[in-house]
Amino acid sequence: MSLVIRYCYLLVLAAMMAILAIDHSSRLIWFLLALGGIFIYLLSKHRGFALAFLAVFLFFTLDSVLQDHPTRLVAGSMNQRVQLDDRVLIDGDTMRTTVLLDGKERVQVTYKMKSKEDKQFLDAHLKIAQVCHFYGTLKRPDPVSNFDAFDYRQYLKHQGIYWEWELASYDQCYDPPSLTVFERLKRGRQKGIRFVSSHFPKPWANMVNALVFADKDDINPDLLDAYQNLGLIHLLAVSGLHVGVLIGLLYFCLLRLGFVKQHVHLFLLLVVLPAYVLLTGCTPSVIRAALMAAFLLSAPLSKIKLSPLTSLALACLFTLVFQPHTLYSVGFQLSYLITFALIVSVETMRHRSYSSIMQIFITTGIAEVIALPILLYNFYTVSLLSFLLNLIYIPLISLIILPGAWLTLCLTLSVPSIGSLINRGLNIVVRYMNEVLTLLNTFPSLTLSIGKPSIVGMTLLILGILAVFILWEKVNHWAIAFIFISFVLGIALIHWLSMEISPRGSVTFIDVGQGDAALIVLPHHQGVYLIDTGGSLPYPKAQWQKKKREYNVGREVILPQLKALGIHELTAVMITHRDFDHMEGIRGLIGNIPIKSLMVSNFFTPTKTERDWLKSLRNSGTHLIRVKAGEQWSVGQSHFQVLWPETKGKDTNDQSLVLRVNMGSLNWLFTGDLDQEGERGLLSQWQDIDADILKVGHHGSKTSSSEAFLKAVSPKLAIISVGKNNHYGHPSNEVIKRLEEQNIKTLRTDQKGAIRIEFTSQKVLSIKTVKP
Amino acid sequence: MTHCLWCGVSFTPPIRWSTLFELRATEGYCKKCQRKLAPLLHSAALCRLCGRSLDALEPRYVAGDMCSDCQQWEAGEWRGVLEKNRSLYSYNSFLKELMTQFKFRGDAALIKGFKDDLQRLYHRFFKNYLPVPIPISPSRMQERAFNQALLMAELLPVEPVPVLQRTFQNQKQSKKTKSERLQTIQNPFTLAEKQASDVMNRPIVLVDDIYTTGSTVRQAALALQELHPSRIASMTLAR
Repeated sequence: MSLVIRYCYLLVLAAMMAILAIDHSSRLIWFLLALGGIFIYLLSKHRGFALAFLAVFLFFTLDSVLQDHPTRLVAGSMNQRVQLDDRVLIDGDTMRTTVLLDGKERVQVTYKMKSKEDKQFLDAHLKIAQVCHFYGTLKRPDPVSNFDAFDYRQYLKHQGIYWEWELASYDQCYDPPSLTVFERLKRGRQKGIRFVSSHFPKPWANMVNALVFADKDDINPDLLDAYQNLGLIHLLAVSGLHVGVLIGLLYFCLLRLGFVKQHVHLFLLLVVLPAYVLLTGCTPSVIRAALMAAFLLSAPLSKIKLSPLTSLALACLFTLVFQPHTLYSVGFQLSYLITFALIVSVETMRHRSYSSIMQIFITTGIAEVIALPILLYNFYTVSLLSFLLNLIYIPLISLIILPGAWLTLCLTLSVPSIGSLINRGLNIVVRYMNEVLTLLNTFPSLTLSIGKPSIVGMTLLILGILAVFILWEKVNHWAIAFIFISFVLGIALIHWLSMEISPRGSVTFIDVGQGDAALIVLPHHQGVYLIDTGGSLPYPKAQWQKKKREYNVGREVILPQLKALGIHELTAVMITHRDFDHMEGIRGLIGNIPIKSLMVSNFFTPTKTERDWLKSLRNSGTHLIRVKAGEQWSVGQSHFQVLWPETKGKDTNDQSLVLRVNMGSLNWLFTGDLDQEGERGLLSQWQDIDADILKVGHHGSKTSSSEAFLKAVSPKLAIISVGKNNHYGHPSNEVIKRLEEQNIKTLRTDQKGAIRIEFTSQKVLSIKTVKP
Repeated sequence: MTHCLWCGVSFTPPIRWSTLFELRATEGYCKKCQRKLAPLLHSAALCRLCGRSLDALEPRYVAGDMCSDCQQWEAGEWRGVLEKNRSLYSYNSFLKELMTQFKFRGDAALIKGFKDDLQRLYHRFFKNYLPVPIPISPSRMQERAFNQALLMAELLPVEPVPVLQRTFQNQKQSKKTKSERLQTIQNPFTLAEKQASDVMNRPIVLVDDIYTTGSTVRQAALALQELHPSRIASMTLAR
């Protein structure tokens, strides 16, 4: 039994495998093979433990099957009285929250507010425990529509949410006659956040809310991006460290005040810990730390003493029993894995008797290395500055900012005059901290895009990390730092080589909604070209409607796609013409990824808006290139040819840059929004215009794709890049019919999501779509 | 969780990266008892030959990187018989107590707590050496039922080769004075014929519980000369 307790952390593996196997039942055979392998290994070591491992696996299999309630709701209109039990998030003119229906099933609620008064009312009245009557429609969350993109439907499903409830209206909001303790605490949190927002200067207020109440809602999204990209986002989360410091301080103070030790233990265990967990919004890292603290505090009461590693493992198993899908939360993964790594390393660090500066170095290094696989798997990038910045920012936040946050909160409540003085001082510190990060984030080349690692790559990476740690433990020599560095460089080298060697090229028609964006990656990574960037027409908004940051398809869709493919630079962005659905996305790319050159036609006439974008492009080092019909150039074995515009045309669509690209065995034709008049001109200029794959002109509008043009091009495959339920009625049935009549296979991004064609110089390898 | 082999208190031995998947019920000593041990390898200067801590000696017993005892050994006919000795802990009162419990009261399990330490010592100083335990005489075996040196050697990563035998036991070493020990002329050790040929020309490390004056290991080393070992060294728990 003592052996099972000692090696409890291995049982977490069994639990994780069970949960993953249930969710990925198509790969069940692999999980069973892995399970068999581990079981045989354990059997050779210790029979009892092997049986315990199997028992935990079976238990968690059963558990996650039982926890996986299928939905009982159906699509359609739904009107119901509900009680709010989650925070209400208001951004611009949208309100979001979740509610529990009949105490059984949780749904995501969204509401588009109608007026400024509407917003003010909701802002003031929608508190936790409020009862309201909601009227609206239930619909499934949008499925993922781009490769390796954030899967919102899956994300909600992992929280047991299957439906989005789009509200049309609400009424009869009232407070319940009495509140439960939990509701009081949750309201207290809401109140606290509001108090800080209104009494503290910004950005210090945002920092205090993040560190005390785990609320990042008010932080500028660009700043959050900076923290994220530079590998510092964990600093804005309430972490296990906070819990440790808080409990430690209280424990010490209460003992000093003369309370009996056992009473202090009970008080912290039964009152302070649960309250703090609720106050900080129940994030996985806080629950982890609270559970570990609970085990520690209950040890003298129950005479059971658990090692830190066993406490960690038990906390993990405990969390997973109740919420198996927490396993997929990045916060959960990082919190447990980093804590695990530090506990396992602590003995060696103690033996080595490092200096305290060296200890900070090594602790940060361990955390960075162990977090690498998780960060790569979820965000596809590694920041080169992360280690250095963490060295500076971790002590800064945990020694000054965090205690400062608690202190000033207490002071502002008791002695406001002193409180506001310290607030002002700390506000300056935080402002500088943020400004440095914002500045560093404007150098995208400091962030390496590695791309989404394959299963094999992940396995090798994890084994490599284990090997490096074992080596560090066995060899006490400064040269080990050299091995650490060469390990990281080795990963980068292997990654770079695998890209250079790969003879595989691809063209991805990204689903940007209504608009065009085609990403060309040449074989052997000889170049990356983006033809159009998608985008949307901005419409005027009142101040109250404006979001913290307006949606931009370049930033939200194209950039993640580039990162997932491991692309760290665009050779060229080609803009066919200046319509918003082809160009506006560029705003989200500028400054976020290096763009070597921007290509437009010689008839491209920017207005004031585009001139501003071009200016910031030039400032970030992009060459602007104007190309003429007839120009052509080669990159490796690929050949680019500009066919159009020959004339200025009557509107922007007719000025569309038309590109023919030959890559390996295939000819591609990208026509932008060229309409029939332009098509006729094109046909008269270029006799042999046939292509294997055609990006259908103007999203399938009937003003383009004349029968004669389709005949002349005679593609084997036509791609229509178009948004679902768009206002223009694209694609037109006429065009669909024309394509059908000529037996041209057609794929549409509104139906299939993103479309990717992979090829080598000899043949087409695959045609993949995100949706079946 | 496990119990300290000495004081019986329950404690948790740490898990490290290299032992993550080991799945072994480790036996050992709690931190409190471990602190009572005085590890020799932590001291700044060791005697080049016998591995005792030179820091702990009075200056007049130190000559360069050697202690005066070893100098005496090297001055006479025993010169070069022993390459070196390395020991884990100095023979302080705690270890004395522990050894009494182990050897004379038969608590054979105590030695298992030193497994990792012994392995580390072996890896650091005696890689590729063949471990040869110092034997005890048949009559002593009758009395004690185990050979403490063999138990130690069995904890090493390499299978020990018991090529020595002890034909007679002198008076217990621990009951003799230093001059008496040094005067023992007749060598109690001889080669056990059977296995001797396997270990020709190899480096050998003698394994014993305590190195006090070094006469036991030197006599054993002398008995091994016939095998033409490339080196003969010794390792002990206490010095």
